Amino acid sequence: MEVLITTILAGTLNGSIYAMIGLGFSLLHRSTGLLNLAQGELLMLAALLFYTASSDWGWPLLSAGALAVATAAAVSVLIDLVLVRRMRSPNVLRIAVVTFGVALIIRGLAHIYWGTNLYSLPTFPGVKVTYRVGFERAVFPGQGFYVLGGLILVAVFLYLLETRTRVGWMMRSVGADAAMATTLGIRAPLMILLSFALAGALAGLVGVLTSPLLFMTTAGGTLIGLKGLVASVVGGFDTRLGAIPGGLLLGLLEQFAGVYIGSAFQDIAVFTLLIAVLLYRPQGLVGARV
Amino acid sequence: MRRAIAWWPFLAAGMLGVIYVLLTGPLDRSYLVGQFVSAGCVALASVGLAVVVGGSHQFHLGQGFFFGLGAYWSAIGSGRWSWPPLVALVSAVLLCGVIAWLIGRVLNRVSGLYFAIATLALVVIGTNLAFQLRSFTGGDNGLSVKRLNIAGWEMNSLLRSYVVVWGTAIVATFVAARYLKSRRGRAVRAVGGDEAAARALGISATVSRTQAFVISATYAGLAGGLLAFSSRFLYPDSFGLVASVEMIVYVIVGSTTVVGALFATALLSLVPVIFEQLEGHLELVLGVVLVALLVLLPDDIRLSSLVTWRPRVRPRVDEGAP
Repeated sequence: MEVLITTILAGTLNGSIYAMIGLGFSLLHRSTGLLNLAQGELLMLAALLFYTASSDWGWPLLSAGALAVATAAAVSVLIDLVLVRRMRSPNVLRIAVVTFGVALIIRGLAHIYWGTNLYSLPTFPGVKVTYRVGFERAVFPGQGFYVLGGLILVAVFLYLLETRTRVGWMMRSVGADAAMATTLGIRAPLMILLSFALAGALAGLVGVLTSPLLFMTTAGGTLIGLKGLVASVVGGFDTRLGAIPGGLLLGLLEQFAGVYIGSAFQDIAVFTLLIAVLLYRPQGLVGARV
Repeated sequence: MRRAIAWWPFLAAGMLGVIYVLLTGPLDRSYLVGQFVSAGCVALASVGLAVVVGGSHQFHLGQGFFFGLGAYWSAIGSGRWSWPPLVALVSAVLLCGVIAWLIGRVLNRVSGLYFAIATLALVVIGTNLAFQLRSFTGGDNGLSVKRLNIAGWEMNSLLRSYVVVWGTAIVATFVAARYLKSRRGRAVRAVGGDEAAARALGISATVSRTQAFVISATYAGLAGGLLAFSSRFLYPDSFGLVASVEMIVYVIVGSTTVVGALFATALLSLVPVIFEQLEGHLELVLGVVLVALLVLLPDDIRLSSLVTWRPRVRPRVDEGAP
């Protein structure tokens, strides 16, 4: 019973991390049609910068977090301005591979500055480090409340953005048909830039919120970023909030596979699920049939 | 109308001779020659990848999976199960082909971005298996491999590995180039060029794609096996995402042709070997090269479009590919 509860709690927590990353992928894909494979590296960059600013430079958590999120957003915007926009012959696949190249560059540069160390911060103030849940051994890290709260805030923000604001409608219409949107007077490049900024900021936010939970290295962003992508594809790449059920399913599956099959099979289960969903339900769990 | 003799195998062999003399010449840099032998294995796998990327135009990010499968199967077969090394190597190639056939038939149902993501998942699964199946692969302790021994002839010196690996790579590239010009190969390129038109001409897109996928996997399997026997030590990270992307970079630099992939690997893998300061920054170098090429080059990625010298431009009307 303890094992079961611990597994469900850990799965939910990891799942919400994947969900939040996945929301970034979905946001960008819905409003630009693109895939940015550097999202995981943006997360890593924000997490390490947050660590350096708060513990080496002694900045308060809030301003260090703001710096990290703003940097991730800025790098994401640069990807759009410097690379994606200037491609001689853009297409979705080539842009995806370019962003993978950017991921390698960010990793390489971060490696020069931060080396191969593990970086982790203490839990944010306001919560206990761990909470006991009913039984002796079932525990939940206090930082998890920040992650869950962050996920809910982000989800509400994205929902309101897309359903209630003019900017959100314009972003969505550029994603649906950029040529048509331009004809109707929407500045498509600006909207794409905004989407990149938001997706980058979201990756940065996840990096900041999870820095007490993950032991981040310069190579550590890739796998977690890919899992966010899996969450987004499993939930529905083209849906607004499908990454949330996708991420939770992924987190739970991963934990259950780890406990009941063997820790060796966590990642294998995750990526097998991805292949199965791609083959049998490519629109995702939540998405409408195309 | 066929060309009498292909010019490039001679160029490749000459270039490799010069490189060997340069690397071993005044200074004894056996470490660098060893690196360059490994690069030959990567070249072979990249040539296979070029059949898929340049032929059937699919973005295959999973070549590292078959590369690793071939390497580990050869190592385990010759070591743990004490098969003759040649049997282990051949069975690794066949196994890669069979598995690619099974996977390819299913995977070819998705296309474009989703194919790339699915093959990427394949690599992650493969690296994980290599790390986790410790009793077979040694996990993160690595796995040492026996020498390649064919009927008493042992691959026991760097020069022998160098000749075997790069010789195989050149021959295999020649075979791949012939294949892409053959009837079946033209069908593969037709499907890559315009699937609807190819199907209208009665070409089965699924069969062609699967065939290209299987061929590329056998190349990767052979390359992996040769890597196992020449480096004689395997570590799971050598077959991960970075390795797969490295091959994609070589294929793109080689203008997505098989011959180009061979030359691009030979030249680009020399860069970190010669500039030793870059040694630890392979990722950074790869990233910069990849981004620069894809952003700056036009759609028909041909390096030759950047230089003025073109080997031969001759209109050919008699070849069947649309």
